[in-house]
Amino acid sequence: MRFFWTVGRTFASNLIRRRALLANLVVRDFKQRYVGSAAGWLWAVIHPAVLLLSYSFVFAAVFKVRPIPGSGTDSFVLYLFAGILPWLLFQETVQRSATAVLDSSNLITKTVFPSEILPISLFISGLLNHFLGLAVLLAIVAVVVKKITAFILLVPLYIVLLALFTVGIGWVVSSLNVFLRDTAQALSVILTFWFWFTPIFFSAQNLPERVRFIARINPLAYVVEAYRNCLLAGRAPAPADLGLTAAFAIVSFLAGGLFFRYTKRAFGDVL
Amino acid sequence: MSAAVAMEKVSKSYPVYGSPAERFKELLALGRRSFHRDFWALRDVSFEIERGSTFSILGENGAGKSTLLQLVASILRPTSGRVEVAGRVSALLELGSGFNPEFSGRENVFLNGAILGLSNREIERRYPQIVDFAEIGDFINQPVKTYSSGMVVRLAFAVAINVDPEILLVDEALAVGDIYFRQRCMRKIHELHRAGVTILFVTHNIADVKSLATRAMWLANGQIAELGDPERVVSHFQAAMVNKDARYLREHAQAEAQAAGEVFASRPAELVEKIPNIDFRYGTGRAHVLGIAVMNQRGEEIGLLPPGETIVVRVSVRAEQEMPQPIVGFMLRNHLGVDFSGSNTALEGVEMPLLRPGEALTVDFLVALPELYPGHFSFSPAIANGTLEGYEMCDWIDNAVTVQMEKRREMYGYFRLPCQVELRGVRVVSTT
Repeated sequence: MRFFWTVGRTFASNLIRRRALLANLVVRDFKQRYVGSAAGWLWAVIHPAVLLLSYSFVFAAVFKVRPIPGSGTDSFVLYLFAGILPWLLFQETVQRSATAVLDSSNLITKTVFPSEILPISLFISGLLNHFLGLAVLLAIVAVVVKKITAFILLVPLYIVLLALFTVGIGWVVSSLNVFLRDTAQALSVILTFWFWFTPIFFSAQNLPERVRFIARINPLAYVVEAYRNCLLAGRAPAPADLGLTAAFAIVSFLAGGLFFRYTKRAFGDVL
Repeated sequence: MSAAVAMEKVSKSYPVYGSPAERFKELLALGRRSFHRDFWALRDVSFEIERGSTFSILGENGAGKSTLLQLVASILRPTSGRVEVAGRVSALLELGSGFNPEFSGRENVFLNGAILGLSNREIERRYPQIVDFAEIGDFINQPVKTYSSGMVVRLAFAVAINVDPEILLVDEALAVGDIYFRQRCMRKIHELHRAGVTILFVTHNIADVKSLATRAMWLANGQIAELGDPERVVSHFQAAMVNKDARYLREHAQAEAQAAGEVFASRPAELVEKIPNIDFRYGTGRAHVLGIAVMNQRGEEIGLLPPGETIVVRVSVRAEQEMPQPIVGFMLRNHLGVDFSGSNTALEGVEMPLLRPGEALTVDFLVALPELYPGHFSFSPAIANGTLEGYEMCDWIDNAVTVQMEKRREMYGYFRLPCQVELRGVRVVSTT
């Protein structure tokens, strides 16, 4: 426990010390994505909206998929929307982390630069889109379902856990990609699998008993489930699931952090 | 502790891998297996830099200078040994490398300042000074990709020196930029030095070392060749470079020299038979240039030309056939290959003896050198037969000897005009 406390405090104090850099990186990243485009940040809305509509068309309109009973809504669009939000944040951060260190090689080799800050800044930058999505979802829920419960207050907690988990994975892939440039490619493949095997279009209950473990060992499955429960069904996640999610998040964060710190020493030589 | 930077027996080897994957395998093997060969960029380097001093590192390309700076900036870790740095480091390892071309100068100033450890408010406060020093005017709000390379450098330098570094690392950054900006950088570095900043800089410019450094270090092949007083280190470094150049030229000329090197039976005492270099040789072969030497007045060969002093250019020739009207001369060329100045026996009005076949002759030209800019100069000796108006070129050797003009004081342009200054008194002149 003491160990976690020390690590956490060192990490937090470092973050606070370099908050100006973090803020600058986030702003830079945010601008960079939309610099020179006419619609600007609107793309941040258009992209997921199109994704959502296309999936909804295929699954709801063509295959007539309905959310399982007790989901708090009959609308597959809302069901999908709530589930895909945390996934998109995770996927985007991890995918972009993979090339982050490599892309900043000039900063790392020519200046005194804390490279571990990169996946964090990418997560925060993605978080801005995430909040936008959440706001839209909540507005629709308020108008259509007319039911918003106090459980949405649990969402920030899940965002923190998702942050720990995502940044941990981000550290691993960003460092790996320095040494093995195939990492980014391999990652797209893995993420595609991960996406379809995560209960985003379906519920864990839909899975046949013998493959249900897929959802149990998948931290993202818990987060997706929790989002739906808190935002739509108005149900608290099972405490055991919350505990498991937290454990996944902390392990990923610590393991990723240690891995990054260890491999970082060679960055100067490789880049 | 009075040392701002201390290195103790620092070595840095770069493992050379067949592929990046091997590097990773080794990292995971935790030293149990090795997948590489070692290239030693630095070996057993120990030195201390006192707080507030200006320390210069000299050396050829690949001597390990940049590696050393990167170790001080803790971008790299030493393979063995200890690096201790006390104070906030601002590194100018490659000016403007941290800039994003899509963003405006202003945005880049803030990002760079943040990387160097400033808060946004601190950067905001220094922003006017930075813009002022960089002198890029309204361009500050334009994307950096629209800047000239000089503007990028100016802005980057302006940021780096305005973040209150305690230790400033400069890696040949000043080589770019125009003279005006260089001078302002120099002044700024002097200013920082007076303010107690420890400065560590790498340069190829000998003049910078002499004017800025309180101590200098010469790195050769990753080891300290000399450490101490800048004047002394610079002169030894320069001498070594000139020697190396001469050796290179000699080695490359050897093959041709062997072909031309016939032994001469009766050798007069002062005959030079050394042609350090032959870029190109032409002539009818009626006579040959045997050798050339550039010497001081004591007759010692020199590689550095002392500006303002008299040197001796000695040319030895031998006639193969009868030479009734021999002319011996030389041409001085600058580093661009431009004929700078030359002379010969006919031009100087010297009576030359008739040369019979096999007879050799040595001519000494005593040249009062003007003060020339510090650069490479070459001498091309020649022998001809005839008069200034009409002659037969018997043997001409392009760039037989290369020497370096020594730098004594600041030089504007190619050479110093002999000049006297007189003040005519001061009085008040009304402008109305």
